Amino acid sequence: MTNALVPDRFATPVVSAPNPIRLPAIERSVLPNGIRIWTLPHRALPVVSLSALIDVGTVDDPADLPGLVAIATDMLDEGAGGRDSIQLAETLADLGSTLDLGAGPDATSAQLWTMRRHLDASLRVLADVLTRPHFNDSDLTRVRELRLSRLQQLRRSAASAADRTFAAAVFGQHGYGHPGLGTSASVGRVTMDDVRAHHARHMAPSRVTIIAAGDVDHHELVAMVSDIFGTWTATVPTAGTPEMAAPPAPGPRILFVAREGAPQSELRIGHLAVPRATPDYYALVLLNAGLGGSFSGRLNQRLRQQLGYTYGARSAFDMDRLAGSFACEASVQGDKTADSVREMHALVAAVCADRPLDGEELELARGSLTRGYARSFETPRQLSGALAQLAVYGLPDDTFDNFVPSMQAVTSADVAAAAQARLDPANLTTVVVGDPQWLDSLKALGAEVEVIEVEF
Amino acid sequence: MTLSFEKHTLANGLTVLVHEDHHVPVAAVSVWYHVGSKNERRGQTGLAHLFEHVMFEGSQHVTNGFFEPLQRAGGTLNGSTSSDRTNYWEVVPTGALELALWMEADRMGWLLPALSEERFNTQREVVLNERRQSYENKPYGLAHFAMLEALHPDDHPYRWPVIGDPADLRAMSVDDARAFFSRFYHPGNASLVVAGDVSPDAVFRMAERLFGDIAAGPAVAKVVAPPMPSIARRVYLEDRVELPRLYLAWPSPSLFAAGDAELDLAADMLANGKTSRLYRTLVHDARIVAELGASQGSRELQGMFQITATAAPGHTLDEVHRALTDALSSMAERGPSASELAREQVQAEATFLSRLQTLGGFGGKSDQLNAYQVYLGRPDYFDADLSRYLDATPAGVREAVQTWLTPNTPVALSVVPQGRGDLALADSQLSEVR
Repeated sequence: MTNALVPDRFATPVVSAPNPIRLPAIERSVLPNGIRIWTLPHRALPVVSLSALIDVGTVDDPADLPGLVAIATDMLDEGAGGRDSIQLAETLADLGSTLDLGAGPDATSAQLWTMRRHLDASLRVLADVLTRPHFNDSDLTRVRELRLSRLQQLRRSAASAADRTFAAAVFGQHGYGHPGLGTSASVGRVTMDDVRAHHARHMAPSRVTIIAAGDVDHHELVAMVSDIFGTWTATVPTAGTPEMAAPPAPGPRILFVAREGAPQSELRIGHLAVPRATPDYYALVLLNAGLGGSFSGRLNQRLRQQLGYTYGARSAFDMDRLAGSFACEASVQGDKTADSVREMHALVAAVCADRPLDGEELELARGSLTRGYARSFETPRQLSGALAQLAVYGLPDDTFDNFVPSMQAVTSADVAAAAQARLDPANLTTVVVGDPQWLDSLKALGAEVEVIEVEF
Repeated sequence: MTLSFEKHTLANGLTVLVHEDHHVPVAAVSVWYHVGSKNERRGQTGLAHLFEHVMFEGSQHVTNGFFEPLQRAGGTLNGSTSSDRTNYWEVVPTGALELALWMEADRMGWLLPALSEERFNTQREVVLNERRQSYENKPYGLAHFAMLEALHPDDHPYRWPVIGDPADLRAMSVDDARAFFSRFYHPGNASLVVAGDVSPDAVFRMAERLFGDIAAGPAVAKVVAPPMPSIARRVYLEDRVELPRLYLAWPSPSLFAAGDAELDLAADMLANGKTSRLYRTLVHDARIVAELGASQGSRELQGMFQITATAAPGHTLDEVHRALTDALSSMAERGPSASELAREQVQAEATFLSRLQTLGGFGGKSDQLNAYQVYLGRPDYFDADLSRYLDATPAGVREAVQTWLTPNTPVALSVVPQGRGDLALADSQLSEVR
């Protein structure tokens, strides 16, 4: 006999609504030399995640020297402030701190993670790296050699070949069209004069935002940065919006990169899309989650869970500061290459025409994006990363507090409209990196197949 | 620095651990089953991992698979299989904790009624594709297989990789999966951790209600590995790669055994990062190596210490090999300097601190409590684990290197471009791994 007061052992438990989250206010200061300092307290542990963001990215690579920004960034910690490359690394290691330098498309970052008690000493190393790099010829020779070896190795990575081919096809001569690491030909041409000129043109306090999250007090950090970076007076021209060649108009293309004997084919299928500032951002995030942004999205459900063609299929709108792209991605078993391409094309076409995301799919996507949003802000590193997005894309402070309500306000009509406006199933660029034996089956899909070589 | 918890064991043998931390309104669930590829036998390699895939496909009362309900509730989830254990985790908003636990209980107690041939067959294809993507189609991807095979004797449970042999995977049936579940997936062979915005008493009550009626299973016999023979093998593989790479490997202490932490420290001092000895001599100064690394791969039955180095263009593996063995013999003779070791110890402190930042997922606090519980029966081991590193001495590191990293390297594996067997270390035999 069933007792109505005892919950059914096998009934799915009810989930209660999550509490809304609010981030603490970001505290901001600007030093007289122009450095911006942003802090967000988070005192779970005595650690600090600090990021120095420099307003220059691989998008700013000279057209004839792709890879320069990445090499110049690498050179910053290959000797600075009187310590050579290894002494610098030892100094940080002795503090238990890590410093990771990286050049992204829109910004360069120096990410420091340190125990609270070593914040001051670690900042001094960071200041050396940003303001007093040695730029020795012998270090450049080594950095360049290592980069050339890396590029040589990447030639054998199917995923890298696919990414390079896709970016070049979608963005053309635009600054996002070339790989951030450059090519062997361009990296081989980088001289110390190029590195110095880059540094002189872009590295100055007016271009730097220091973002700290963790066990740190704003006024204390301002005093520290002021003491350590206050005498840095380099000036550079104001960073405007760089002049860029327009990306080519999208058209239906199949680009094939041969990889003899490959057991799988790497696929990238998509086109030019929109920058981060797009007004339909929230609708696009929701659309993508349902189409292929998560395990439960249509791409993965179809290609992995129903057909077993791949270990995973996904899609993404890659939204950068100046432009963006949309791409479906998967590595599929060789003999299912053409079938997989056909399936992906059909799924993109369907979501903007006869089979828009239905109510169930939208609520699944919305729940996955909003209900667990709090876990995006668990660690100092996540928090400093979130603030870096505000800085790089010029977003308002309430962006994260507004994320959940904004996602809740998106209607199914908004998502359908975003799909129609931003997806272009008739003009998909399809990149396949795989065994040439699958070429004929791709030709049978109807479009012309261009067999190309990738430059590394 | 500590990782606090409360512990309760259910009558059916399930260990339940709770760690309270209210910084974010989420709860992390971690379930470990003490079964991995070491519990397989020849002819059935890859079963533990394929079974892990099947665990996400649904159970008697979770009909639509595990991702949809948990993602709808705002959770993330995943799982992984190693040679020693299989783990599953969810990170959910606090209000969905009961859902996550109920689902874990359902697949611990009521998986088999939902295990269909169709689901099993599809996941077999997914796993074969995982193998292609993660190993066969990746530069140097087969090296791991060749190394395991060269280092371990024939009947050793670490001789085959977790992903398994494609022929074995193809020959498996859904009945094999059923038998595997009955042997290994039950409360006595599992451990549950909940960490986050929760109260221990409430979690214990929930666990009792949801897991308490699952029957205790048969005791799982300890896997006994045969002794490692004394060998000195040189093998090579041809692969779609540009630069030849050398892998040197030694049997080493098992997880948490004497010498394990010392060799972990030695790996970093020898070959990890710009502060390491080999980076300075081979990458920075001589420029004969392009990529470098070392690891003490601690496992339950037997460890594996490995050094890898990719020759820079124009340099040979024989040249690299000489340099590596010189550095090893110097470490074995003189040990690290006090300042080298002190540097590693500060970093160990920072690493342990950083390990306390995240509640769930791979490597989060819930995962760590389960590791200490399952491998040692000591969930309180976090501080003692850090002490292993902080208490290490230069003499202790020297002794561990002398004892384990013998000059007669047990396996030297070369991976060279296709058709370039001549670039392998002198006197190497072609490996049969494909």
